[in-house]
Amino acid sequence: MSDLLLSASELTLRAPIPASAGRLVPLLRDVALELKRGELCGLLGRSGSGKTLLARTLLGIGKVQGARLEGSIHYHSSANSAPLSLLSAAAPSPPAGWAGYIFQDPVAALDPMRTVADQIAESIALRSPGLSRRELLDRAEHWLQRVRLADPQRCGRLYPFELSGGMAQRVCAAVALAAEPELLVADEPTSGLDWSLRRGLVELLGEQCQQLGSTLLLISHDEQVVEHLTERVLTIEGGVLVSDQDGCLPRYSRPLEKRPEGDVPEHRLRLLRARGLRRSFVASKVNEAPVEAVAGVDLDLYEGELVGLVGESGSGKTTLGKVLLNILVPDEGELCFDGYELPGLAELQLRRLRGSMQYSYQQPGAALNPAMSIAQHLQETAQLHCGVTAAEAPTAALRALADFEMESKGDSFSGELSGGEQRRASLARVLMPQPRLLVLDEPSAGLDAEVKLRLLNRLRQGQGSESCVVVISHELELVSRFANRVLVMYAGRVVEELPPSSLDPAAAAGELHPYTDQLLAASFRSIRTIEPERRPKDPGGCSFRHRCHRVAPEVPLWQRCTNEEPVLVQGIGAGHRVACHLFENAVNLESQ
Amino acid sequence: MLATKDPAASLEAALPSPELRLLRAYGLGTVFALTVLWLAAQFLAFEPQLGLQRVGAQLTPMAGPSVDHLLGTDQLGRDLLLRLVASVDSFYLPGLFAALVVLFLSVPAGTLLGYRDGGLLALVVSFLLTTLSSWPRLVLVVVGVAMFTAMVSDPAAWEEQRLFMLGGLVGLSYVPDLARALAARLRSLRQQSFVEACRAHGLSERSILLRHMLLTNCWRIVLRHCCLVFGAFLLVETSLSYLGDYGVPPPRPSWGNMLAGVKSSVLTSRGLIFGADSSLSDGLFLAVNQGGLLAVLAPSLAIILSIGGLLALAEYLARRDWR
Amino acid sequence: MFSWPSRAVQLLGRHLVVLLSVVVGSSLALGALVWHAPGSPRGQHEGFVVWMLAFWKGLLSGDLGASYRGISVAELVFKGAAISLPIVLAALALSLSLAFGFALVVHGQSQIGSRFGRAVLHVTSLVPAFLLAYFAIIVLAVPPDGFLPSLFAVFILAVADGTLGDLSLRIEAELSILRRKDFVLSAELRGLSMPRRLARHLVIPLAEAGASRIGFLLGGAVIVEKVLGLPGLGWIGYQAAVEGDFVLLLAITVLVTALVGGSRLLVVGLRLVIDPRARRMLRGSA
Repeated sequence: MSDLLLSASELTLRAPIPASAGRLVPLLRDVALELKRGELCGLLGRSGSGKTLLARTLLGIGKVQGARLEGSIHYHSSANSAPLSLLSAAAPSPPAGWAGYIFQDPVAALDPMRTVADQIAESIALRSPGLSRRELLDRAEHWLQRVRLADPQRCGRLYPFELSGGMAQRVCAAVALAAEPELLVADEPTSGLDWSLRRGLVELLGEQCQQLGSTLLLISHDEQVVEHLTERVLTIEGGVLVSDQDGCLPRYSRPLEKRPEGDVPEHRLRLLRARGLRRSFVASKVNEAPVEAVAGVDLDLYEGELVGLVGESGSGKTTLGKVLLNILVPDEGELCFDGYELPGLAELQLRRLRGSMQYSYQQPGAALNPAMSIAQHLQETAQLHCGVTAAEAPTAALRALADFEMESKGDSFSGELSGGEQRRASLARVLMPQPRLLVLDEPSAGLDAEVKLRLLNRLRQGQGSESCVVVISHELELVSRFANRVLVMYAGRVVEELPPSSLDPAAAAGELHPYTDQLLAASFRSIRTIEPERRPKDPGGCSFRHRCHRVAPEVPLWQRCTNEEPVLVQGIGAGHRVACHLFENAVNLESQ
Repeated sequence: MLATKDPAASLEAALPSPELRLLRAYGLGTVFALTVLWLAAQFLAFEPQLGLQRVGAQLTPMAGPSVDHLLGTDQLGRDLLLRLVASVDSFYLPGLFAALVVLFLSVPAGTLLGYRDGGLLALVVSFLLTTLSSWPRLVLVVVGVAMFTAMVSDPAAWEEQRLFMLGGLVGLSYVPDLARALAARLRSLRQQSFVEACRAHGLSERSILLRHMLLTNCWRIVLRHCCLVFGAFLLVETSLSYLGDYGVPPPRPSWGNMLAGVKSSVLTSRGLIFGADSSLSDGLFLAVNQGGLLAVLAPSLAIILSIGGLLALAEYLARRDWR
Repeated sequence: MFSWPSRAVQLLGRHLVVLLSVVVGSSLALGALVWHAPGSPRGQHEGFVVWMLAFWKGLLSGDLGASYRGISVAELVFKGAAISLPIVLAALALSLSLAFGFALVVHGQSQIGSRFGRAVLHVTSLVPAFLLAYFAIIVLAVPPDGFLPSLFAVFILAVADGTLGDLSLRIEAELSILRRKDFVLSAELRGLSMPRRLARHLVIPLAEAGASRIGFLLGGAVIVEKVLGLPGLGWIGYQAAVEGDFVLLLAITVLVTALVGGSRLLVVGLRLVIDPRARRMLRGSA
C-alpha cells in the first residue's frame, strides 16, 4: 500500500461568478498537490483566496453551476490497490465514505430534522453494518464522549439547532469521524469559537485523526491555528497555491515614500470632537448580553492630520469610524463636527454636512449600487455635493474617473469590475465632494502590494491642509508609514495614542502598551491575525488583563488591573498617551 | 498609474447563453407583434363591417385557404385572418390597463410593507393583501364583473368599459403577488451595505428609495409582473369570451368567441357524418379532415403563442434579475 | 409558563383568527355589493347588518337561505362541492405527483432528460385550461355524461394553466437548494443513501406549493366545469353570477375563500408536526 492518498495535478477551475454575467472566471489555477496517508496538513489562505473551493473541488462536492474543470485528481483508496483516476471532463468524486468534511458552519452541516445521536449512528452504521439500533446509539454516545462533550446522553437527544457553536463543532467532528474516513477535511473548524476552545478543538481533531490513521486537511485563514497543529502548510492565494511548507505571504516589495516630516501645522483647527462615545449591538444569540463595540472613546481630530486607527479584527475600529461620522448613531456621548452637534442634527442639515465628511467602506464594492453604472454614481454625487447641473454632470464624472485612470470604465457596473477597480471607483466617489473629514476603512484590503502603495501615496498627495484623513487598518507597517498619529484600539477603547515613529518592533519592551507590543510582534513577523476574543461586557477592570503578557495573577498589580479601568494618561515621550496601569506606575516612579 | 492586474480582471470571453437569448427574442417578438397587430386592427376598423365579412366577397363558410382568404373562412364565411388580427383590439388596451392597475397599487403597497417596519397602516394593508389573495383569480373576476353588470342599467352600452373592468380585476388579483415580492426585495436591499453607504454619502431617503432601490433594483420584478398580468388577462378574456356572458360579445371578434363560434359547426358536422354517438377516434378523424381545422387551430395557436411569449419575457426578466 | 402544545394551539389560533377575519371581511365586502345590487335581499331583512348577522349565523348552522329560484342554497352548494372538491383534490394530487416526477427528471444527471423535461414543463404552462377542455370536447368528443368528463377535468386542471409547470419548477428549485446544503453534501460524502433523507425535507415545501395552487384550481374549475358541462361548484357559481342569483354567489365565494385560507392553515399545522424547528420556536419564545 503506497502512502500516497490523493494527488492532483494542473487543476484549473473556471466558473461564471454572479458579477461576471455568465463569463467564465478562473477560480483555481494550475493547482498541483499531493497528500500522504496519515499526514496532518494545513491549507492557509485569506478569505476569498479559494481555499474552501479547492477542498470542495478535490472532494467533488458542491459543484459550481456551469463550471469547467481541467486537470486530474487521483484518489488512492486502501480498499482498492489501484488508484482511482478521474480525469478532467467528468466532475470527479471520491468513492463513498472515503472522505469526510467538517463544514465551516457547524449547525448547517447537520440535518435539522434529526437528533444528534441519530446522525452519528448513521455514520457508524456505514462502517459496521448489522449492528442493532441500541448498539448504534451506545456507540454514538461513546463518540460524543470521544469528542469530549459533557453529558453525552442528553446531548445525543438534542436537535442541531439546540446546540451552541462549540458543541455543534464537536458533533460535526463526531459525525465525520464516526464514518472513519481516510481523508478528513476541516474547513475553518474553529470559526466562532474563542481561543481556548479553538486550541482544544484543533488538538482534538489531530488526535482523533491520528488514532484512526486518517489524513487531516485543516483549512484556515488563521496561521496560528494551522501552525499549532500541522507539520505541513500549503498557502493559497487568488486560486493559486503559492507555497508548500513555508506559510509566509508575500511581503511589501518596495518601501513607502518617506513621510514628509513636520507637515502638521502648529495651530491646528479642531474638526471633530468626540467625548464618551459608546455604541453597542444586539447579540446574535438571544440570551447573550449586547456586544459593546465602542465603549467610551474620547477623540479630537484636527485639520491637516493623517490619523491611523489600528487594532485586531473585532476591536471596534470600523464601528468607531462609522460612529465618528454619525453613520451609526452613538448610544451615548458627544459628537461635534465643525461646530455642529451631529447626533441631534436635523436630517436635512446632516445631509448637507455629509458632503464634507465621507466614509470609504472596507469591501471595495460595498458602497456601490450593483444595478447602477459607475458614471451614474459619480454624476449623482456631482449634482448632490458639487453644485453641478444635470447637463454638466457627465463631464464632472468623467473628470473624476480620469483622476483614477478609470475613463473607460464609466459605463461598467460594479460587478463587472475587479476588486482594485471597485476600490478606485468607490474612492473617486467619496473624494469627489472634497470632504474635510475622510475615513478610509482598510483602504488597501484586497489590493496587491504595488497598487496599495500607489493608492496611498496618491491619497496623501490629494489631501489638502484643511482636511483630515483617518485610515483604519490592521496593517501596522502600512499605517506607521502613512500616518502622523496612530491610535490603537482594543475592546472598543482607545488604549494608546502614539507617534508613528514609536511603532517600531525594535522598541524596548515596556515602552508601549502590552497590547500594542503583541500587535507589533505579530504584525512584523508575519501577517497574522491575533485571536479576537469573545468579549462579554466587562464588569470593570482592564479588559486586556487576561491576555496581558506583563501582568499575571501572581503580580501585585493584578488586583488593580482587575478592579480599576485604566484611562489614557501621558506616556513616555511627546504625543504618547496610554491607558495601562503599568504606565501610571512608571510615570509615578519617574516623578518620585 | 494605478492599473491593476487583478485575477478577476482577466475575465474570459462572454459565455453565450442561447436559452436566455431565445427567451428574450421570443418575448420581445411577441410584444412587438401584438403591438403591430393592434395598430393594424385600428386601421381595419375603418373598413365597414370588418370582422364580419369582406364587402363584395362571396360568403363560403368553412372554406380552406385561398388567395382571397389566406387562412380560409369561419363558420359564417368571414375572413379568418382579418378576424384574428381584429381580435387583438379587444384585449390590448384592457391588458395594458391591467398592468397599470397592478403597477400603481402594488408599488405603494410593497414600499409600505418593505421599506419601513410595522405601523398600523402596514398591518391593514397586509390584511387586505391576505384577503385579496384568498380569492382565486377567476372567482374575483367573475364575481366582480357580475356585480358590475348587475349595477349598470344598460349592460349593452357598457361593453367596452366591462373589458376594462375585467382588466382592473385581473390587475387587482396580482396586487398581492407583486406587493409581497417587492416588499421582500426592499427588505433584502435594506440589508445591503450600499444603502447605508448612500445614506453616509448624504443622499436623501427619497432618492435612496426611488433611484437606488426601486428604479435600479426593482424594475425587473415590476416589469415581470406586468408581463404576467398581461398574459393572465389574455387568458381570462379569451376564457370568458369563449363562455360568452362576460367577455367580448359577438359579432366583435375575440380569439375566445371565435373558438366558441366554430364549435357548434364542428359538432354539427360530426353529428351529420358519424351520428350522435360518435366515439373518441371518430372525433380525431374528423378534426384532421374537416375544413374547420384552421378555424379551430388558428385562434388556439394565437392564444398559446401570445401567452407563451409573455411568459417567456417574464422568465427572461426573472433570470436576469440579481438574487 | 406554557408548555409547547398549548403554544402550538396559540399559534394555530392566531392563524385561525386571520382566516376568520378574511372570511368575514370577504363576505362583508361582497355582501355590501349584493345589498345594493338588483334582486337584493333588502326586502326580507331590516338592514344590511341584520342580514349579514343572519348570514353568518346561517353559515354556522348550515342554513344559507334560499336561492333566487327558491331552492335551498346549502343544498345547492353541497351538491356542487360533492362534484368539485373531489375533482380539485384529485387534480392537486395528480399534479403534485407528476410534478415530483418531473422535478426528479429535470434535476437528474441526464442533460438531455433535464432539457427535455424543462421544455415539456414550459410548453404545458402555456396551455390554458379552457383550451384543453375545448379540445377534449371537439376533438376527443368527450361525452357530456358518465365519469369521463370528471376524469378529463382532473387531468386538465392538473396540467393546464401552469399548475404542473409551477409546481415542478418549485419542487426542483427546492431540491437543488437542498442538494447544496452542507448537511446533504456531508451525508453524500459519507456515502449515505439519500432519497429517504431528502423526502423528509421536501414534505413541507410540497405542501406549501400545493396550498398555493388550491386557489388556481378552484378558479380553473369555474371554466373547466362550464366547458365540460359538469354541474360542480364552479358551474353553479358561474350560473349564479350570470342569472343574478347573488345570495348563492355569496355563499359559494365565502366557501372558496375559506377553503383557500384553510389550506394555508393546514400547512402551518403540518409544519408543527413535522419540523422540530417549528416546535422549538414555540418552546423558545417564552
